[in-house]
Amino acid sequence: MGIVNNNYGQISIDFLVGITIFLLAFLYLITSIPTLFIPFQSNSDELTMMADKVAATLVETELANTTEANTPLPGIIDYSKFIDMKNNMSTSSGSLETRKSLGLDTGDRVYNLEVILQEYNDSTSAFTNYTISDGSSAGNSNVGQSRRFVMVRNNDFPGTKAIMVVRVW
Amino acid sequence: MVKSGEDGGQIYTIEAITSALLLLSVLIIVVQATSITPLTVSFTNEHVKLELQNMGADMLTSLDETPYSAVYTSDPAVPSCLKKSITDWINITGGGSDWFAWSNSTSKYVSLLNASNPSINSLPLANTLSMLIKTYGIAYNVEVRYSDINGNIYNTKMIWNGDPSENSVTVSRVVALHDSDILQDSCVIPDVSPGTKFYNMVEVRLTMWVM
Repeated sequence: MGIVNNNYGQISIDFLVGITIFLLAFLYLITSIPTLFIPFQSNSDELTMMADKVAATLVETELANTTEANTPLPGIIDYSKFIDMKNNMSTSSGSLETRKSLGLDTGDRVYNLEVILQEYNDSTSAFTNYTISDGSSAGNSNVGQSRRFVMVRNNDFPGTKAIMVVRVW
Repeated sequence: MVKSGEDGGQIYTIEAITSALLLLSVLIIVVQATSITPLTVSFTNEHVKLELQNMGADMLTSLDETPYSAVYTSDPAVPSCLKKSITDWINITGGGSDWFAWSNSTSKYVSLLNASNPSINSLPLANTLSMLIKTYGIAYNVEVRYSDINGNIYNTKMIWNGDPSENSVTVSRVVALHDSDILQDSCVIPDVSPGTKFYNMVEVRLTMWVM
């Protein structure tokens, strides 16, 4: 092999080093930009998880229909249990008791709860809302929300399709 | 053409073009590989999908837990509305060989492959799912997955509203079919146990995405 006398055409090492550093910096920037905003984001993540937990508890055990089988049927809401809970929540002492039983008491505070059952009307495609709350409203504070699909059964089959919205703040 | 005596430096131009192209393509790949939104690092981003997943799983569960006999006394033997939906679809389409799509009209579900087939509007599964598309703008596909006697897995479509987006969520529930459920001579889902009353196990796969 002959000795190459000139070095034209070879990409310089400087260029490679430069472009590598540039791309690494660019990648770092792309991945770190979203985290810069974390301090300004709301603290509703925790509330959302609490709402998920409460929704799961209500749909799968607390309000679940137990009259047809000897075991709770997850996703099938017993209408009478829903009314019982609505009545319990309407007084301040009952509301506190209900919220504590659902695990909303974290020791330093008891979170507020609102449950909205949106019954769906097949023929009109409209929702009718039934709200369980103790009258307090979320106002401007952060709210965690979770939605579940349920069948509400009041001795009528197959029951009414509904969306259950659980809000915690 | 007169040959220039000095051709040094030409390669620099090619290098420059090559490196520019390289740089541009890397930039395009990097930018397209990640999508950055205000919610990217937030739990809310995941929670939207979690809610979809919960609602889909709830629908399949509550349908499966509702005895069809209680709704339609004419058919007292069927223990689940979900199962009844699958067997009805098989039986009215001549063996499960037709797909349906939601059309926002009085005809509701329309057949995609054979317009002479009756609609699946009355099926509990199709009826329940239509609530999602009508009120929440959530699109969905329903596929039925089954195996043959040799263990090969197949997928067939029941409701098809188009290709799901990248952020779709799939939930599924398994339904057991028996010989008495299949009224058709030819069915896309084969009998995996010819000697017994058991027919096949099918996995009902519901895929949902926000439009």
